[in-house]
Amino acid sequence: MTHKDMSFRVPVLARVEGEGALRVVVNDGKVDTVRLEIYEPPRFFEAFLRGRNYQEPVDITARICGICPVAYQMSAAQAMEQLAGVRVDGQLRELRRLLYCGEWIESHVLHIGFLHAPDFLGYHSGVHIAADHPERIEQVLQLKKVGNDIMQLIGGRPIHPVNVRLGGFYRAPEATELDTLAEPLRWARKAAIELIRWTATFDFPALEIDHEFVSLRHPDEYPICEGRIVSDRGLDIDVSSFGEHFDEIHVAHSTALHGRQRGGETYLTGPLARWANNYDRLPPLVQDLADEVGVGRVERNPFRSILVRGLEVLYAVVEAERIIAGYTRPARPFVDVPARAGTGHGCTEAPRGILYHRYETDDDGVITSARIVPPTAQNQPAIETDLRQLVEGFLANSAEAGDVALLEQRCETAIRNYDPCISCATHFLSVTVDDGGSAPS
Amino acid sequence: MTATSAALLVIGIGNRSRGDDAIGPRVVDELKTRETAVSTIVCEGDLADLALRWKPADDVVIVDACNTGLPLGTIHRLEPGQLQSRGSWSTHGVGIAEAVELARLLDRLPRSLQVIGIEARNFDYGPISAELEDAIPSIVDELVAQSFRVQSPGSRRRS
Repeated sequence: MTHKDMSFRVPVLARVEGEGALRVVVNDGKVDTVRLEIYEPPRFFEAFLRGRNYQEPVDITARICGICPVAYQMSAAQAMEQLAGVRVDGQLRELRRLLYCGEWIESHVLHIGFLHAPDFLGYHSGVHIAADHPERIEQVLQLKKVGNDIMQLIGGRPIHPVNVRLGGFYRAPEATELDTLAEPLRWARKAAIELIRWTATFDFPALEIDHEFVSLRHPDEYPICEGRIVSDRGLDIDVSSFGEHFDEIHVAHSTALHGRQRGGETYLTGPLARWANNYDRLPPLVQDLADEVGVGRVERNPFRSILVRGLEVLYAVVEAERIIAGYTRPARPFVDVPARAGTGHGCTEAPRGILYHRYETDDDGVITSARIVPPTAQNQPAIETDLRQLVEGFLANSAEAGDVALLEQRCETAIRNYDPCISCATHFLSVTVDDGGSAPS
Repeated sequence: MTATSAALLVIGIGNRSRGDDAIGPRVVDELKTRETAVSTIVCEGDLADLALRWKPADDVVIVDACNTGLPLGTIHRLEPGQLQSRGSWSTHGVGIAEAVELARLLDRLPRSLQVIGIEARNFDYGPISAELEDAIPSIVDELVAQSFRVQSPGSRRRS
């Protein structure tokens, strides 16, 4: 068939969280339309947070996502604590970071093994990989379970944790309870290294995208729970300045707002950005393994994000081991966070990128305004940029240009590079190729 | 392994906040008040790692809500082979059928596995319906009397 004019639409994107579609239209050899269409209904969380007590967003916003509830809890807590002028430090801060490590492990491992690896191996799903490589998928499940077990122990259950509150936790675990995680984490370190080496054997399509990388950066740590918002092009702002630099716009083909910088520039948040902006904050173990599998200080091929996710799993495992080894039970499981009128800002590193919360409250601690900017909403323009460049490169390659099925598969993989969470973004995808009426020749 | 072994594991699946979907966890709650030699697990979320929840020597009973149009509280008994996959493998799509298929592929099926479906009607946000709540003791009576029986080792399926 000719590839001068073609279009396709993938109406229901598989192996992503939530509901979305992909539409690509090529006219006269030029890419006309590339759209990530998000049709999952808007969820109006910001609206129904208004009028609620300042202590409630920690639990309410956790319900936005079953994969990354801790990210919502931590950004909400940080915002309300900043508003109240309270800082959570010491072992309580460490426990929060440990809980977040659990979420990074379970979320990243699920994506690597079940959602993304099938793209590179030609399987329909992770379960189909299991038919041929049961030991690999069992290892993936066990590794994910280590993350879930951390969330269970610290958070009270493996999804939508119930033990998180403003100022800390309802109950802090005994050191002996955390010790039960030590042996599983020792196993997880080896398993994560094997997982990374396995994904390094995949064939990755060539694609280099010059995105601006936006992430948190912390003076001492690889960023998870806090830091300044920075980019590889010189941005360096306090979290409270998010609204002055970033905006969200509505586009007709998505029920999720698109993130932009105020100057109109698009950007990428998530593992590739964290990695590029914070490579120097990683322990030698992780840097050395990156060297071994060919991941540099900056990785600009979005298909290789699976490797960076794996390296972040290894980091989260090592970090969890560090926290557990140094843990002493705090005398009190939380610090008081009083009601206060004002505006609070929170931003933490969800597995998919920075998650920003902003709340305004009155004297009684009643929320008068709420804003939540999840990473997938911010990454939609970057995803469409990748898709456009991918399709253009495909059309320029005469060996592949007529293979629409291959193009569709590549496009879907390009979307899954971002581990998009559509439910989060709508507070997201399906793909359709519309040939614009041109018949195959 | 004998029929009285504590290796009988009952897994109650469902969301306590979604009306009658709470029946699986509520049956487990009720079982815990009885003097039965069973281990129990409540599973309110991700089923992908269901295969890691049991041991190969366990006799497993999964209790979940179902909706076929029969009277509320009706007990359905299913063998794993009767489960139908929805064919969805998104992160939202891992149901019991997919989780059991994954266990089979990993050669991690327990010694025996039966699935009990409890007829439910309302899956909206809110509490379990009063009628189903009232029926929980008798449902558990019947399960204890008739369903929590150990099957022969030959029932184990292999990939």
